Amino acid sequence: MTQMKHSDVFWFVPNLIGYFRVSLGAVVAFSMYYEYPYVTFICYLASGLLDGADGYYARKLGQCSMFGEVLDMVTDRCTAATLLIYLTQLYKSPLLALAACFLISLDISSHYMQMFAQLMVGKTNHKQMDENTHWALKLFYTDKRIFIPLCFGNEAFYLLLYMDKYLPTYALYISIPLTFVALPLCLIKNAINAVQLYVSACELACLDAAKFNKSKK
Amino acid sequence: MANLSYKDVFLFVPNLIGYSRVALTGAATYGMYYEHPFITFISYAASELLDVADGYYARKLGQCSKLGEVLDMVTDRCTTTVLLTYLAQLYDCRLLAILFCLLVSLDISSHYMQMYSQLITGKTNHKQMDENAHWILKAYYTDRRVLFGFCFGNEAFFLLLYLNKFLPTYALYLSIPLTVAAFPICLIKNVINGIQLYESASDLARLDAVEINKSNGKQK
Repeated sequence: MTQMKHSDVFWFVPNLIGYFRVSLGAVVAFSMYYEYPYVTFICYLASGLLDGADGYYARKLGQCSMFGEVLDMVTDRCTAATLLIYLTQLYKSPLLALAACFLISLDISSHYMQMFAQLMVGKTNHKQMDENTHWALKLFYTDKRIFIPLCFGNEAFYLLLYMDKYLPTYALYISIPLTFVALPLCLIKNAINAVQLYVSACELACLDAAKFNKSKK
Repeated sequence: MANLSYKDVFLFVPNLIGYSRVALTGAATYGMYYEHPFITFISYAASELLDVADGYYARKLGQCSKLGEVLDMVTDRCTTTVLLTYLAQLYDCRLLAILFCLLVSLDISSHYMQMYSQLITGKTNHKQMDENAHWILKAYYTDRRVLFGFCFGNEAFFLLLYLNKFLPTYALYLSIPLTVAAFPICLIKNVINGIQLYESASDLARLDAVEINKSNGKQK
């Protein structure tokens, strides 16, 4: 069997899906600012669905890779950030803009901190748990019925906020109630991000303290 | 000597500086959206100066920590992101806005990818290089003054773009030339980000290939 090279990893099917998601993200950026709401909606939705597909194909085809995991994480952060960036100016409200900036920062920092802590501690997948884990995080990561609606609901909330500015009035009778349904999901998901940020920070601090204490002996 | 606990690490001086930088970023964001450019400028500039201070005090007081390193990196990403976010709406130009979104994405993804690959390959600090690295990156990371100059120039460029919309005309005679001078630095810094993204991705892919070859070898 021929030896695999790093360039082969770049051609893995899940990673090709990842590149496609990146290009969908680029299309979304254009369609938002050039005001094609339906293009934005279709592409953002497609990107979200493919987010599930790339993990599925990675496992199915035995093409899991660290590169793919980071590509996936980075694409998630950038597509969410791009939508939130546009939302800061779509609603002419400084308070909502500040909230959006806060959410972008929380998203970036919680995932960054978590990834760093996981790598330092040596877990291979950021969805692994142990007995000492915070109850909210354990519940979130282990129960798919909680994990999927919260992630989906969070993204759906931002996408709905966007669509509410463009849909015809009759469609708003559906989309605005949906937005209100998605709001608590968004709040809970971000609360979990905050918990994750704190827990990961504590893990790093524990490692730092242990290293200090060891070096003092 | 008493054992350090994780709470002590949270209270390290460089980390306290880090928390104040987070607060300053919040103040700068407030200043942006409530149109107090002076608050924004002072907060942002202070945050950047403290960025140097936290590393300095960490080394000086022997209080280097992984927590501090991540806190520093995350604060840098967020301060750049919020400024670019505001710039996307400040200049009423869609193409420019999309470009700012791209710069945010490049900043986040290149630092993320680099951090992950550095941690997996075991390099202890994200500014270490090896011989296989691209020559531009080597020059950038071996000389601290070059690194500092590029990071400073990059941030200064965005901050100047912001200020140019608010300064009185006489001040623009100074700030606009400064902006033009800082532009190539921003360009190069972001090209470096792009190279770093690709290099780090390649490092990870190399490791992936090694892992897969190893596990395939075991199956024979």
